[in-house]
Amino acid sequence: MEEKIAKRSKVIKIFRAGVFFAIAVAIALSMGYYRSMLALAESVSLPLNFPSGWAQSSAGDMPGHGSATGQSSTMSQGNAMSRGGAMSRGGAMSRGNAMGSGGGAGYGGPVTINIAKTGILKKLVQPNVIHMMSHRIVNKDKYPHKVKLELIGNNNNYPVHWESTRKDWNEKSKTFERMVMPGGSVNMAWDFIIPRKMLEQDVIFDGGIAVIDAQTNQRLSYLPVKIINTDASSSGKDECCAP
Amino acid sequence: MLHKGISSDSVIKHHLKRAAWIIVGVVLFYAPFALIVKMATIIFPGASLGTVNGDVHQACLRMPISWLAQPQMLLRVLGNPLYLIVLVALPVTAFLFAPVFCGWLCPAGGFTEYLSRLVPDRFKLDFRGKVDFTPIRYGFLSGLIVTPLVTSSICCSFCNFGYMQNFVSAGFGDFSSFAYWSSTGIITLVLWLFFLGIFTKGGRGWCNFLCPAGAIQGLFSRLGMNLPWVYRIRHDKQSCSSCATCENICPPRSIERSGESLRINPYTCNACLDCVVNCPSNAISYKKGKSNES
Repeated sequence: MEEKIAKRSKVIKIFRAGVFFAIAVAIALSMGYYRSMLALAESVSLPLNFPSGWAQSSAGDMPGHGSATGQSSTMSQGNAMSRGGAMSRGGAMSRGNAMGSGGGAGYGGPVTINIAKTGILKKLVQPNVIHMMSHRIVNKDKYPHKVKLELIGNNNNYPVHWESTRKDWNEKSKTFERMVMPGGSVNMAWDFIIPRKMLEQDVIFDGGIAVIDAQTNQRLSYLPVKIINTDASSSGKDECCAP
Repeated sequence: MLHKGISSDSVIKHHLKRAAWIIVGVVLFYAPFALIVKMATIIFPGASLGTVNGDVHQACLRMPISWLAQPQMLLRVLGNPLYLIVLVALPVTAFLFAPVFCGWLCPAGGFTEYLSRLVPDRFKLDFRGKVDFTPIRYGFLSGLIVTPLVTSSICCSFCNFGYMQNFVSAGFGDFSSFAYWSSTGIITLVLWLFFLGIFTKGGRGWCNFLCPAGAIQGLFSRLGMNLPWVYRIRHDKQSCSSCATCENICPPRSIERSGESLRINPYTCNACLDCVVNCPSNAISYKKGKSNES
């Protein structure tokens, strides 16, 4: 009898451990899902390579620089994106980037940060600071480059805080003083500080990050960045009456 | 709580020693010192470490674990040998000496442990006996490894070591790390510092449930525990007076008494030796060989 009870209690113990294990796995997966939901609004992480196809466009073709026609022509050169008006473009661009996956995609496609998707805690504590980072701005060229970064399209003069872990980052000239060798990389994080009244706009920022060779002034790459505030969805799946 | 027969001097000395080692941990891993990064720059001149302002991120103890299911990511170890700390050095150390890193060197764990001592026990949660740490710990570790394949990696967004770096930097006058708050960061801070830290008995709730580096070390500590030539916390049943001092003071809540026997959870014990110095009958020791009971 005692043996039976001991056996039973052992089975219960194993079952209990299994339940705890499964709950912990589920918690980790939920955290991952929550993180992926926020990846388009908070702590946006983007891989960026240079030189890239975007760099071949003239400055006038770049989003945030030229006309609406210029925008669409640049976009058609890049990734496969849906083109059905500003909102649908925004949604599709975000999805196409595989951002926040811990470094998946190698090419820096357009980035749309939708602050409407910001998590509730961030909205409560600090809704007006938008963070974007690139752990790896990689030199895919055969030659070394002295890299300068430029933020383009900051027409509203939002304060932007730049931060790199690199020793050779020169904040004043926005240049990495050491040559980036082929295969080498630099990193950068940007904090956009948006005045609260501007947060209500549909399009808060429409510009991009340019990677420039500091010696030749040649543009090596360009990453269009758009900060928007909209609940609209390209697929309509977020709407309650969606089919 | 000090039991009759224990010298308060030896306990104070022990805690001063531990605190000193935790400061050594700060100097080794955290900016503005990050000595381990500086040393690695000299030892491995080919690695990319020389180009960065070293901080805890260069010797990350979480990312390499989250790459375990992604061999292509593990290749990054070639560019930064400090990733081998969590993949090789700590498991080997834990196998031979139990997870001494957690108990003696880890500033993130030590910080919450010592802060929690300032809070009266009545305000603290005690998870021991209510939940089993081990399956939760390894369930979360498995989840951390699998999430990059299924959804999104959680190693950076929910990093307590990163927050510890922010606190250390702030201690040296650099508050820039606190300029940006994310939802996941707020959750991490609340869980690590408050809910599972200061307001958990022992202050090691995060370590017990959510720390992947601790889980890996616990696993290796368990693997080696029955070998006679490795160092572990040993309990001598004959000398034990069943006073329950060890149970009450154990920071990771790893000691549990059932009847006359004492069970030390090999997966969560961090070899802090608090039980050894506080035991009034010297029934607990840290040594080689097998204990009278397991």
